Amino acid sequence: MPRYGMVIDLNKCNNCEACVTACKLENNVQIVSKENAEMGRAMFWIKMLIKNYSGNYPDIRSESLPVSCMQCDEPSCIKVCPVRATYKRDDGIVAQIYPQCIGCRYCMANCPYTAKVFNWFKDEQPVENEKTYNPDVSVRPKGVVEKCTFCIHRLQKAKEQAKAEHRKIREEDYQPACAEVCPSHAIYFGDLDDPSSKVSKVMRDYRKFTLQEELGTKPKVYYLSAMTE
Amino acid sequence: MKNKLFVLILFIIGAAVGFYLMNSHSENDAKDFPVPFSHYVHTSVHKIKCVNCHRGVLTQEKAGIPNIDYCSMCHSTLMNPKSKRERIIYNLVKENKPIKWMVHYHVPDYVLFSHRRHVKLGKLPCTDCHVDMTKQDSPELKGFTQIMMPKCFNCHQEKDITIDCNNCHH
Ligand code: HEC
Ligand code: HEC
Ligand code: HEC
Ligand code: HEC
Ligand code: HEC
Repeated sequence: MPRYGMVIDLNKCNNCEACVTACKLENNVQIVSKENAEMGRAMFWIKMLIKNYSGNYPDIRSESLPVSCMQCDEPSCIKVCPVRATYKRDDGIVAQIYPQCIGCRYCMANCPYTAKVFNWFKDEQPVENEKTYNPDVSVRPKGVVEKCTFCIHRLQKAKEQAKAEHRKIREEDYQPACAEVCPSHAIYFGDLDDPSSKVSKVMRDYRKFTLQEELGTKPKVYYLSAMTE
Repeated sequence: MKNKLFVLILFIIGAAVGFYLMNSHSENDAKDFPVPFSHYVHTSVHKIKCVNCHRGVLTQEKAGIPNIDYCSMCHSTLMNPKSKRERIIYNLVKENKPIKWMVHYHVPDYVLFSHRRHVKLGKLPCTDCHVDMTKQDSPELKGFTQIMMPKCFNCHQEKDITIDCNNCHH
């Protein structure tokens, strides 16, 4: 059984937010109206936290941190779900089952990374959006919690395709939208347990760290810290 | 006593009317459906294969339902001028108006169901999940039951396929 994980090289990340956009489109994440967004109800499955800009124009360097669900090995969110709408799959991905979710938001409160978002309202979507809905991902109704799934529908499709072609699933078959779109290739994704996979190779780096390591959630999204002079 | 008799008579009349209505509803020209399409005529009598019309079953998620451009391959001429039902489709083909099919089988959008996975890779016959379509003479399906989660679950458990919630739910 693979153990899927991600490595984000902050040295390469240039804060362009292509991952944020790609993720929103891929997963039909609702576009929240301005008023609601100002109330803190904006919805992102991966968000870009901007810490600092340094240098003078045009030689600017940004310090930013893309944060998605950490897909923890010891997720704190699943422990509090009263209906088991969120659980850890055998391949390590933390799943969220929307029709099972009752919207109590305990999992959101218990997530140290604020990775989960709640559908407070169904805001009016731009008309063009209707044509860009991804049919492989459901449009979540009001009142359920959602989060990054490592684009699990892509895994499902890749598995089916691989089986139809009588072969094993390859690394490039299954890449989440953010990793696929990243123009500076800062996001690596794959099987952490497979020593020959690209992601486990780049992970063997002294720059490696995870967010809030001390909590013991054992995230499967690793970062490689940015070099400073 | 009189009252009871009255109720009984009312009940009998009601039952008779109900029975009549039910019967007339399952008469061959299903009125609520756009075209009185008969699977029986096409598959049992004329031996057209399911995949010829439902071309997605081996390659994609949706089975796909053929529309007027496909029907026109055969129905641009009247094969049996006596048949009233055939004339309906003949006229539609002449007008070249797309048909809005009404489909019974449906899963909610949070479920990812793939026909290829089950028909091509799983080698399951259509009748495992659908009623025997070769016997259906009208679009109104006899013996129709919707495919619900317990049905998916039972078969998966029997055949030792994963029942991880997330495999079906997206
Ligand atoms: C491969 C050829 C073929 C195709 C394609 C085809 N049909 Fe037919 N269809 C037939 C034949 C043959 C008959 C029987 C004619 C007869 O002898 O009454 C028939 C009969 C019918 C009838 C009359 C049924 C009855 O009870 O008499 C209808 C309605 C009909 N077809 C609808 C359609 C529709 C709608 C499509 C497109 C989805 C379609 N057909 C596609 C060959 C075809
Ligand atoms: C001539 C083309 C044709 C062939 C051959 C054919 N179908 Fe269909 N099928 C249709 C059309 C047209 C519809 C839409 C009918 C409707 O909704 O009234 C349909 C609908 C269906 C549906 C959905 C019914 C519903 O209401 O949800 C199923 C299931 C189905 N077909 C199975 C089969 C199977 C199984 C076979 C082979 C035994 C088969 N079909 C052969 C044309 C065909
Ligand atoms: C494992 C169960 C299963 C098997 C086997 C199966 N189906 Fe289906 N079928 C479904 C389900 C579930 C739906 C509803 C899908 C949806 O709403 O997306 C469906 C829907 C359909 C539809 C209508 C909607 C669409 O997908 O376009 C047709 C037509 C159809 N099936 C034809 C077939 C034919 C033909 C076969 C055999 C070759 C077959 N199915 C085998 C489960 C099955
Ligand atoms: C009649 C038996 C049967 C029914 C009913 C059935 N399935 Fe399946 N399903 C199978 C088989 C067999 C496979 C394995 C196919 C293969 O060999 O790849 C499978 C595989 C799957 C897979 C892929 C599992 C994996 O390993 O990744 C999914 C997802 C799935 N089915 C969803 C559904 C859904 C949703 C329904 C109900 C709408 C359903 N199935 C109903 C027999 C069934
Ligand atoms: C084999 C495929 C499959 C698996 C595995 C599966 N489901 Fe479902 N589930 C479905 C389908 C198909 C539906 C939609 C039809 C229905 O409402 O029954 C559904 C509907 C539901 C609903 C909504 C029911 C309603 O009445 O609205 C809930 C809640 C649900 N599933 C929870 C779960 C949970 C929890 C698990 C894991 C233990 C799970 N499902 C595993 C196929 C599956």
